[in-house]
Amino acid sequence: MSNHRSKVFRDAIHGLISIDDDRELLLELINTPEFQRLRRIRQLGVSSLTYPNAEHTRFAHSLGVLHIVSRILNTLRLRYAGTPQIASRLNGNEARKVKVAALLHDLGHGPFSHVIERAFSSTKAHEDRSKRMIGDPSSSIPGVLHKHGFTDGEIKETRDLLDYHDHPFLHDMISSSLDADRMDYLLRDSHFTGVKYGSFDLEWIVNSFCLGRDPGPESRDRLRLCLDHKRGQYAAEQLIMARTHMTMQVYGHGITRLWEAQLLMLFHEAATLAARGELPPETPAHVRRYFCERGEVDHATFLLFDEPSLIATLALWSVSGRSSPMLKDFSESFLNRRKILRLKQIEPPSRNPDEIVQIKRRLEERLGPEKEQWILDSNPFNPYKAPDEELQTKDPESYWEGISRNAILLSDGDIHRDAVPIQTNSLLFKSIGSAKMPLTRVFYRAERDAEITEILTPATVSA
Amino acid sequence: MSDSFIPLLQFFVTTGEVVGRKKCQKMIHILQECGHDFGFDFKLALYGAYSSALQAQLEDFVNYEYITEQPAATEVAGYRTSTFSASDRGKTVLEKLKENREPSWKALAVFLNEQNTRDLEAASTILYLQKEDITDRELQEKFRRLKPHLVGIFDKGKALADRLRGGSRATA
Repeated sequence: MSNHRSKVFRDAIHGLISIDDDRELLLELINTPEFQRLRRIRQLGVSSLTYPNAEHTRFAHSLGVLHIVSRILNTLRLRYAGTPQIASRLNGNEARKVKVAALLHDLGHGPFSHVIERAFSSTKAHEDRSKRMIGDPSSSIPGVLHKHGFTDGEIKETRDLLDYHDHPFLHDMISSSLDADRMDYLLRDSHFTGVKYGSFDLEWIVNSFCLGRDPGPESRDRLRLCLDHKRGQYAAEQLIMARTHMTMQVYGHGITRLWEAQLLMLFHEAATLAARGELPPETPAHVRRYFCERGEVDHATFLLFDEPSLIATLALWSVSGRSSPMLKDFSESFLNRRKILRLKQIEPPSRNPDEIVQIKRRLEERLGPEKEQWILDSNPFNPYKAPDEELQTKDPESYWEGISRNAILLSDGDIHRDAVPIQTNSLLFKSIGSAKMPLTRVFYRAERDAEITEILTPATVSA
Repeated sequence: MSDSFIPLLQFFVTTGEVVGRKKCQKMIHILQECGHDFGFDFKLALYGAYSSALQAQLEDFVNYEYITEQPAATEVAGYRTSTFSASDRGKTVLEKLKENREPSWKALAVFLNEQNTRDLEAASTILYLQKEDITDRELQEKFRRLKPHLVGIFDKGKALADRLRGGSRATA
């Protein structure tokens, strides 16, 4: 007689997240200091200053990604139970690696994730640190993996899954235009910001997954994760609209970006002071090290460097008699949400890319280097990155490469037939094309308002 | 985007003519691997190192007429491929920005442009894979799995990658 109670997490998005297969392995990974640290990194960084409920963490998100990947694997197992060469990839060792990679994909995020990524060149890509942490002997992850029978080669394969896999459909679940990461963060962020139109029909998408051959001439022997052509199209359309709206309303929200700009300027000041040995003496050792080394810190320092410790440091800086005036003012105003920066939107389409460069030049000439008095935030958003149809005749190799990398694919589930890019069937995707939504703003210290207005006046920038 | 504008425009003015988006991708990836930052993030996938931001900026450059695209002008490995060159407008913009001096990476860009796309693709993939701790055998095995169509030129690509890495060390 068995009496087995499964391990479940209650989750605001998915209801119950149950860890059954590979339970011991996954729970031990969840219980590492590396993964527990994600409880102390919020998913949306400074967004809670704009959307008060956006306090959810990368810990919950990572469990959500594991959950969705497990469900995709289940859908495919049922669909391809009678196809041994596929079924074998969806079970046992391969599935285990996919789930581990899904669970651990965000380990490398720093506090205020995307702000710290923009702060220093060594922190540019959290994925690189996530990958390192999966194999690095000073991290507890490889120890857990070895204990559960992973060979060194399998650990490397798990790490590489974040980049690619010989069987690309396994990688597609973790990183593609329709991956578990994106599906979880959209639903989670939509729920916790209260922005309802960020939602979409996850159940139907998960139920629609199947496989098909990559349509690119060079990669036709590779199987890709696709949506069933009779089921998935409309749900995918809803997802792309959700992503667009979330980007325009939440991720690219002007005031959110303003607080991000303030933190970037603050980090710049901290790094400048650190280089001169002038950080206030109250600064905790690991935070001091992080700024001295501009993010290139060892594993132990990285583990300590989380949002609570950084926020506590801002509190110390905000009252320290040894802070520089900027460090003190920016820390205090951030903690109390007292806005000291202003925002000006640079309105396209009147501005060509070279005009933006000229504006940046003029800002540097008049107000000094970026991040001291001002930040130019130019970050156009591309809802769907697959190439336009016309590229197929102009530069076919590049067209197929773009399709292979970025398109959402539809298939009838036959693994011997080519998948088609969704824009072939979907009017909505065809209309979106590769359109870009411009998001260009200048954030600056309020006292420079007159100069900024002058610099941004079109007459002064056109040559 | 604004940070990569000047180096990318310099790239086209410097090289005169580049055949195909793929070659642009590989050349700029290799230039970055050799320490010349153009501001692009490259990811590895089916076809090797690739930057979506660079691809989007190439389209922008064509649309805003900083560069001229001659569609399907040249044949590379069985595909008709576009040819790109800096337009008069592109050159004027660079002059106006007072950035028409020779970039430090000019000789390297010219050298890369003389290589064929397939060799650059092999070298770029090898340089990317070598960012991780990897033995020669693992490198060869990964390359074979990622780039079955380029297995025949692995040694050539490896020699090119070694030469590029050596060169970047010598100038560093």
